[in-house]
Amino acid sequence: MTRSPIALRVWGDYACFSRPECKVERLSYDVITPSAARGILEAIYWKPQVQWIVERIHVYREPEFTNLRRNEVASKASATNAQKAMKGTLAEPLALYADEDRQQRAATILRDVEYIIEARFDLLDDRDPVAKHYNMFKRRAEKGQCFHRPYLGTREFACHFAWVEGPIPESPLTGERDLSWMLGDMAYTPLGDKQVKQADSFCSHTRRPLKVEPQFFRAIMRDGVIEVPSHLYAPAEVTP
Amino acid sequence: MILQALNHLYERLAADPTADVAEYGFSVQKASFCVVIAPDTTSFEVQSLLRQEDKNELPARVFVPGTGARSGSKAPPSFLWDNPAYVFGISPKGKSDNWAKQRFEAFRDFHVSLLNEIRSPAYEAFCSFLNYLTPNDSRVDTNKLGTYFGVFRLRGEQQYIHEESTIKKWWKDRWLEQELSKSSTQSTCLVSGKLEPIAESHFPKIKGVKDKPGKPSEKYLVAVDKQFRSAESYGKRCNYNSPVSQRAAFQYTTALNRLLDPAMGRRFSIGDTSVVCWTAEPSPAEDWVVEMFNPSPRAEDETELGKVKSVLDAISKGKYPTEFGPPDTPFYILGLAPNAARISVRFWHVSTVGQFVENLRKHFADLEICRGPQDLPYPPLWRLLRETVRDAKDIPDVMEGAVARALLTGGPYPQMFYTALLRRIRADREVRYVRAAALKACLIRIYEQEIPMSLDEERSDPAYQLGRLFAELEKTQEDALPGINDTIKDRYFGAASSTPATVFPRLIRMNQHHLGKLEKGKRVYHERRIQQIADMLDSFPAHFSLQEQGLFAIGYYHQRQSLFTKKSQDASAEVSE
Repeated sequence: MTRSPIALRVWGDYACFSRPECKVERLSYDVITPSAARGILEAIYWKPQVQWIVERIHVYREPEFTNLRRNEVASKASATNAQKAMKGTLAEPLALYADEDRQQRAATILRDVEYIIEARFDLLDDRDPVAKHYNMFKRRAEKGQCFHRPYLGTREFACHFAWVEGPIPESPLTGERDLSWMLGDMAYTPLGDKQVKQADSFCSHTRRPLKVEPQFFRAIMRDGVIEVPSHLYAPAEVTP
Repeated sequence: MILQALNHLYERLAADPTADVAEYGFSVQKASFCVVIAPDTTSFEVQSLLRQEDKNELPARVFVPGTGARSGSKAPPSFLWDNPAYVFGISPKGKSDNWAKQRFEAFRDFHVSLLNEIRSPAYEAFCSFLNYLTPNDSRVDTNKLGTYFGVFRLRGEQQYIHEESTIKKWWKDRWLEQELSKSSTQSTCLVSGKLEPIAESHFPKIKGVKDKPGKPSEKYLVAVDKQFRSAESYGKRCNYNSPVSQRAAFQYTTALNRLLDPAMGRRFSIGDTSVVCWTAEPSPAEDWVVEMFNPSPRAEDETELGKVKSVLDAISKGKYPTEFGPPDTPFYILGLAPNAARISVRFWHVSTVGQFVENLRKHFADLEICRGPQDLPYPPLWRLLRETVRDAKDIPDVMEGAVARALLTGGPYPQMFYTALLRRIRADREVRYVRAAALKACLIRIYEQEIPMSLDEERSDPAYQLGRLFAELEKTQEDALPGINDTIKDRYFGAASSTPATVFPRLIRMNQHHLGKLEKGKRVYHERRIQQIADMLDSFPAHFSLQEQGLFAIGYYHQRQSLFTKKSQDASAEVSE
């Protein structure tokens, strides 16, 4: 097992990697999901030319849960209204009234988590040298710089991070544990420009319509290490 | 993971002919009557399926085709079973005869229209019977209908018509076809991992999760409704957010409903949380756990406890009960609580039977503390929780789940449980056996302290020694002024356990008066005991932390216990002299 070029230690007091089936009354997965790990990496460094690939996750603490109840809102802020407000054509004030739209929800979340994320990136633009992006990430991670605060699953659970140099320490967890099917990541398939209606999302960079499908993988933890299968990530589209 | 484990449970149950779970396309319904059709198909009789049990009339559980879920003003009839309005055109209260007639006709026409598709003599007989029937037929004995559903049988046959093999097979094929056509979305199912049609909502709904009266009794475990816009992500609405195939949805809900069914005796509650547990392979541990947690007040009396006590005794001695099967069998515990029209997972714990037994042993070992002759060992969970509040209904739901989790996982008890205990002790100034046991367990697990089972005179913590001192001062007062209304415990316990420096000097002064009232022998005895404890102390600290307050209460409890046990020994010594 060769070490991936990038390894990042992440930790925090709380974390919630919601299982999709328990998303309303949130229930966390036992460990960080590859998509949440990717989110952390992207918070520290991302460019349109870079596609992050999470290769391995090391788990350093026994999963431990706790419960939480809080008030949330049931609706999303309207994007159309926001656009109208920007143009100045919106009649009523742009607001979401939390008092009138309140829902109490329960959550079962993780406590005291610590992981090392092993990852690499694929370049979508092969004119760039890999070393450039690698060093940019490394410098940022060492200094603790980030584009936005990385988080453990949900925004309220801030994530601490540190660059890992040298060999990766062994996890105290032993044995093989089958964590069953776990969300790996979303697969974003670009659609044609005329298929806007079928689109689930849009590429934030090119505004191209995207079809988004969740990819599940059989997560098996061996001595605290989870291998993320490479087929989760569609091969990168290289722009000449 | 929950869904996978439940799905696996369904497969285990489906393979077991003695465990009754519905097949895909079928459901369990309560039937109160059976229409027995004569061979000439023109006459029939209505047979009651209710049976008497302790003054209650219970309906029969029958596996029938379809889910029984229907809605709309022209709700479709069910296949080969339904309520009296559909079967006989008998209108329920508040509905017009015409309303019932429409349903009766829908029921008849639906079945007759399928006559060409189903090649079965039994089905032909059934259709011909329907054609002879009129709405609200005068031959129907309405007394025998009951309040539930009806099924059909041919006279001389053992099985119901819908159980006949050709008809059953036809239904299964039709069901699959219908289900597949219902969903337009194909995706990877998160239970099976295969590409399958995804269910928009998961049927059957979950019944049997305890809730306050007046709330809907059927809920969803996985539920994203259409109005819940903030749960939409990547354009995925409803349950497409959590792709579960229709078959897996059916299987996990069926398995969960069976676990939650009160008739199965596999559900127990911890506060508002309904808990079910099961093992991956059949094991008596499943039933035993329910027995142990069963929170009915009867659990306190010895007969109820007797059933589990022998196993608990073995476990506390460090033995593994061999009847539980291999210790590495996976063991699942799921705590569910209602929240609006949904069910939330309060806790979900996967371990093995062996681990569970070990955690249980540890839990009871941490709780073990010296006790009076009336106090029973192994206080059940609800007793521990009961000690934190004035009224049982004040127990916070979140705390119950957290304490249960600590018990099951062997992790630390929640801090709020510990503080609630201390608060209660300060409020009613009473350190009873269960409270002392709970405090001891908390101090061990939260603060990683070593707490002995009974009095440790050499322990150097000032909090512990001050607790002992307080017990002795109280005892002196009791002996000096027997029958006094307001003892120093009633007045000063709270202050003594949190800010000792403010009250202990005064208590010592008062103690001089109390000693003065005693005869010489007793005075010397009390003085000596107080002196012994005081020798361990340098000064009175100004404040005690939460941890020290707990230790104070433990010291107090230990000393109280030892006072009474010592006394009985002294008494017997006096007799022997």
